Amino acid sequence: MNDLIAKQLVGGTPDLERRLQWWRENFQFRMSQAVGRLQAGTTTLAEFQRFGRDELKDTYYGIAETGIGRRLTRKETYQVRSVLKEQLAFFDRFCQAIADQRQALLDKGLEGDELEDAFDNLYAKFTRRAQSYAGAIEAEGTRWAMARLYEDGSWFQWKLREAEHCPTCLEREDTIAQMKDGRLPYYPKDGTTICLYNCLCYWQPISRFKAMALRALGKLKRVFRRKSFEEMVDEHLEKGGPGSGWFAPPRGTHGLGSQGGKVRVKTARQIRAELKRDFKRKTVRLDELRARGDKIALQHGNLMSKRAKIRNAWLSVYKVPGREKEAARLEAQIHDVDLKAGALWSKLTKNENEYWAVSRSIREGALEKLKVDNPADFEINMGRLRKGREELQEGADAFASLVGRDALNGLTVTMHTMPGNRGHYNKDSVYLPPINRRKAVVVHELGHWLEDNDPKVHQKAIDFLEKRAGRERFEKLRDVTGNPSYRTDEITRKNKFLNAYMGKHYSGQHATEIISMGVEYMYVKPIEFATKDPEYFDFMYNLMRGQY
Amino acid sequence: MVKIKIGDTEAAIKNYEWSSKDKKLAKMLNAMLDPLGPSGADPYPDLTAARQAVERLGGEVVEYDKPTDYPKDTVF
Repeated sequence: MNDLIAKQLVGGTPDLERRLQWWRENFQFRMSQAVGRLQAGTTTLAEFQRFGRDELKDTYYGIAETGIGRRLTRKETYQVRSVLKEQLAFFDRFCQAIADQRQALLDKGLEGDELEDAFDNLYAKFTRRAQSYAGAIEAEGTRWAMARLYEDGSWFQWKLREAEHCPTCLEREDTIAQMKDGRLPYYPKDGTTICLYNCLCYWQPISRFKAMALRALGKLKRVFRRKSFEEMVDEHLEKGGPGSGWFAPPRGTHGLGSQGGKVRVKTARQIRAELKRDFKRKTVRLDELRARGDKIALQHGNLMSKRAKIRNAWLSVYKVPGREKEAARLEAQIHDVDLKAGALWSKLTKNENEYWAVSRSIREGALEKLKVDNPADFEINMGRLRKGREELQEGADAFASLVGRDALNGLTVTMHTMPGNRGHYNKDSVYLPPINRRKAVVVHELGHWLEDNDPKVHQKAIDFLEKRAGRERFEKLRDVTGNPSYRTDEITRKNKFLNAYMGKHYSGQHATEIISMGVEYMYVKPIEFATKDPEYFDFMYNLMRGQY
Repeated sequence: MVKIKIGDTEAAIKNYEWSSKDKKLAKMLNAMLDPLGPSGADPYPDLTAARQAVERLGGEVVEYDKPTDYPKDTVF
């Protein structure tokens, strides 16, 4: 086995890898040209299909020969043919789908710009598909090259490169595999991962000794985990009743309890540990994206300061006779700054979109862990409300998934939209501002409803607030937060809460912000909540499951 | 409605959605907003979003409507 070449092949960009990439890029280029011809009408769909099929055939055989470094044997040719057959079938189906969609657009009677835009989108699909085929081709090339460089029985470990990773790749990280019949179970960019053909992972060759050690370690870990887990359950059941660790809840509670089985419900502490562990990498990525966004924004801010200075200079000269040249120069500088700012806008938009996408994936993963087995059962009356019903329902569903039936059951809440800036709650009614995104507000206000409807919940919230901040002095929210939009009579005890609003005091009211803010944070920022205020997180986790 | 000015370009936020003559700017500003919307703790989401935008990007809040007046005992 030639480890050096192997490392270069799978981890670097040596000659062979470059040659494999050439096949991919060549295919991608020729296909995008063909798409261009199709869009321009200089070729028909049937011609395009024939061209694509020929390209696929040439490329698949070509890359296999490049990978293996010689002419293919009869057996190898059959292997390529079987993969190619599958790809050609995909391609034919895709061409048919495009033809149908093109006809559908024409049948719709679209004209002018509208038709042009629709066609642009359609042909963009061709280009994207060509990229996918190219990715699959590269995976096939890697397979052949690895088959050439390594003998059967060689061991490999799945490694991640610096990038945003999909769940499949994360799951595969550090897994080991042995080559059999010149094949590994899967390859980067072969379409078996969620990131499909964008996959940047690679197989790192490892020694047999390391593979055996890793395998033994994996087994050992599993055995160790199982034993300690069983011991914990047994110990706890012997003691009887809930407490730390795992426990069997009483019949009729916590989902499967009604079946009378021993249901293992995770404690808040265990959930916190899981959240911290499972989302560590993504949280780091999120921080990186935030930092990158801030850096771009800072560059933009500096540009704006520069622009203001130039503009002031321009204002002082643009009407002065004899200084026209200077004014023109300054104008050009302003224009230049505006162009640079515009470029930063695109960069920041892309960064922010990625930030929210990662944030969403973290949140959804965390909510999967936080959701209760038996969601709260309640009715929502939306009356005449028409706009945004779906979003309100989504917010309410999120709330229900976090709050157990033991905490909330059989009640009805009414939702209204009212002009104004703030959502508020009053006697089984939630009033929402007419804004476009309001899931967080829905969850927040339903938190008030939960507290208002159960005196025990309210008392628990009061007790928690007093325990945390009982000895602190009240301060104005606008002073603590620096936000002058708070009214002067809104006061809080800021404590070490993640948000000073959590300690808000309602004079003579049956309300706090403990439950509403707690459930909102559980929904919007579960990882931050679990890691930065574990006491509050545990309180909310148990309360929402009716454990108080 | 809250209006801001970045360079010579104006943008306005109403009902937690940015608009501007410059579509690219509006797109960026909207991308900066949390898809889940503002927190229930936010007393004036449009103004908060506008302040955050100018704080990050440079610029200024040039105009905003008076916040809604709510009764004293309102639970937000």
